[in-house]
This record gives sequence, C-alpha cells and structure tokens, in this order.
Amino acid sequence: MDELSFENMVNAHYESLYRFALSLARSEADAGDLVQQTFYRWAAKGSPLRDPSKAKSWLFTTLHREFLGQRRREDRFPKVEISSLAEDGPELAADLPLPQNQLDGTSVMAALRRLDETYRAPLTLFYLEEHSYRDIAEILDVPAGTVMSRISRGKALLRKIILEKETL
Amino acid sequence: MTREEATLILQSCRLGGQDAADPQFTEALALAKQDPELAAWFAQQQKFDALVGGSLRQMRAPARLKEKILALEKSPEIQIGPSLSVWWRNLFSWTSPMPWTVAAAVVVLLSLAVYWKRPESPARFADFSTRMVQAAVNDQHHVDAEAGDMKQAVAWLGVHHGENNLVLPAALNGSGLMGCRVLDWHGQKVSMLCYRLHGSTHVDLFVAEATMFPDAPPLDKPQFARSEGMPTASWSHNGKAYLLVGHGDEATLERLLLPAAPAEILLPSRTYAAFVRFSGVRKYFLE
Repeated sequence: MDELSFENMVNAHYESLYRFALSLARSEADAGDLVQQTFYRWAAKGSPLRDPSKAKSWLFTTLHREFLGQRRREDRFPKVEISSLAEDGPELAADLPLPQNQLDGTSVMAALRRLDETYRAPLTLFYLEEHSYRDIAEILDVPAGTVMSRISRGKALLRKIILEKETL
Repeated sequence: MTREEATLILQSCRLGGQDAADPQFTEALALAKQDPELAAWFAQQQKFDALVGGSLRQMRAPARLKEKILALEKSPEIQIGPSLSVWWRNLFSWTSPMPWTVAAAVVVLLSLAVYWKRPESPARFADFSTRMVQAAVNDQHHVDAEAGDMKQAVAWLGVHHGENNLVLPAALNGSGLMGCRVLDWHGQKVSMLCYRLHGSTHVDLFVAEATMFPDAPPLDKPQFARSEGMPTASWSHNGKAYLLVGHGDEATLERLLLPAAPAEILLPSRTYAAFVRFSGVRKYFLE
C-alpha cells in the first residue's frame, strides 16, 4: 500500500493538522480552510516527497506558511521577542501547581489561543507529540534553541492561564 | 550542563521517551537522575504535559472536513502527479510534452549560466530600493526581532552584524519602533528598523553602506520617489545609505523627514553630541 497516497496522507494527518490549524486560526472554519489548502497544495504538487516522515513535516510547514501568508495580509507586525527567551530559566519548584479540574480539548485550545503566536505554534506542535523540537524548528523556520526557549516560556504562560481560569 | 540549562532542555522533551536518544536530552536526563530536586520538578512538568497534551489530542476535526479534503483529489483543477515508476518513460516519448519541457529547461539553464558568467555589475541603489520594498511588503518574516526602544534594537543589530552606527531623523528616534531585522544585499548586511508611528503609520527604514552604490542617494537631502508602488525617501549620511519605505502616501514620509523642530536622537556606543544639518533643519544627535 502506498503510504504517500493522497487518501493515506489525509487519513494519517488531517486530525493533527486540524488541531494545529485550530490553535493558529481564529475560527473552526478558518482552521478547516487551512487544512484543505494544505492538502490542496499536496495534491497539486503530485505528492512531491517519498519519505513519509518528511511528508509529514512538509504538511505542517505548508500549513504554517499558509497561516503566515494570511496573517501577513492582516497584520504587518509579527511579535518576535528581541532577546533570547532562554535568559530566564523556568522556576525549579517541585510543587508546581497542576490544574485541579479535568481539562478538556476545548479549554486547552482556548488557553492556547490566548497565548501570543510566538509561543502558541511551537507549544501546540510540542503537545501534539508528533514532532521533536528539531522538527518544530524546521516547520516554524526558527533555530532549535529558540524553539526550546519558546516551549519553556509558553508552558509557563499556559499554566498561568489555565490556573487563573480555574480560580474564576 | 548546568541545572538551568537542563530545565530548559527538559521542557522540550516529549512524554513516552521518544526523545531519549537525542544527545541534548540524554545529558539533561542523566543530570535529572542525579539531582532529586530536578527530578521532582521534571516529574511535575510531565504531569502537566500529559494533562495538556492528552486534552489537546481529544479535539476532533469536523467530520465533513475529511470528505471535503478527499474530494480535492477528484477536483478537475488538480492532476495528481504521475507515478514515479513511469515518469522517465515519457522522457523518451516525443509525443509527450516532457522532452520539450526538458529541452526548454536546458535552454533556460544555459542562458542563466551565460548570464551569471558575466562580470557582476555594481549594485544600483534603484535595485536595492526595489528589493528592500519587496522585503518590506512581501517577506514572510517582517522583522527578526521585536524591539521597543532604539538601544535594544541597536544592540541586536550589532550582535547580528547589521549596520548599527545610525544617525536617524528626529521622527525615527525610537518612538513607535516595533522591531528590527538584518538582511543580505550583494553580500553586505543591511539593517532594517520597523516603526508604527502615531498608532497607525507604518514605515520601514533600511540602512546599508553607501560605498556599495555608485549611485548612492544625495547627502543629507531626502530624495522622494516610488518603488514597486510604495513611497520611498532616500539619503546618505556619514557613509551610510538610508532608504525609508512608507506603507502610506508620500506626504507621510515628507512629514516625517521634514519636521519643524529639533529632536533628540539616541545612538549607541559613544556619548558625544553633534549638530547635524539635514534639509535645512537642525537636529540634535547623541552618539
């Protein structure tokens, strides 16, 4: 069976791509459009890759670029911090609070979407657990060290958002 | 590896040991085994990751989305590419468009090779202007780094080998600064500063070595023009060529560059002050 056939690629990746798209886009409809556009490009290029692992990265990279292209037309000022985010290491406390209430996909997605895109994209890819930080760096076209620092800072911000919501 | 480095690295370590073989994580994980405090912290992190990751992966795409995507394959607009096992056969079939395409590609490549062999012409400022406007409008990453003040931007530009000995017009002295970037042009570094002034006026300033250009813009006198449909202003000062690209109308650039009052400018490294004459308007610079 051809692992890279259009149907197999859709079956294998459309759910994860949709989750990533949903974290980036403003609505479910926009997320769906991003995923469709990504597979449209895959189909139009006639399955350009032979390595399934590279094909997966290609899909995520393409989706992210599609999103950036759309966002660029709306906002000319992407937020990228000037300093290395690694300067402030994470707090080393064993009693880091955990959410008391049961989390669900919708509440996590809502919390992720409150994060700046700088952190949201690498953090979502990290939590999908399908990509190493090196893959994430490739998909987002940023250095691997930057991905690490954004995941670290993003986690701290996400935890704060989730815990704040619990206390409301 | 320090404990701080380990904490940063371990935060990017996925659950389930998928990354255990990565040398970056091997060392950090080994440190965590020897350091009970770090190990306890990492365990808490992983609990949080499991909660968030598990919840995120519960999200389901709409059922109709898959149908819509699969229908793309049948779209008449899309021709799924030829299978890899037969494409080469077409290469030798003159009834196929493939040989003609290959022949055309060879001609184009040969033409390009001849073109590239020609002695390189000097960089023209007009070409520089075109490329920088394209960068300002089209590039995926508009800025490399967000910077709220000029000192921060100048430091960042210095670290990234960009031009950072800048003499700036009063209106671009740092207020409204959004970010900066370093670009390459004919092997030279070009600094870019991005501003959003008065809340909505978006301008980008590019700075390069003026000696690159045989047709560098006039000294200390802004020259207003349009490039790629965008208003620009260019001038030279102290061996640097400046190109200001506006995302509005020409009048905006004129208002920015021909202000009525002197203003203070912040510059890096040194601390002497100088008066600079610029289009008949006196400006005060701290360098």
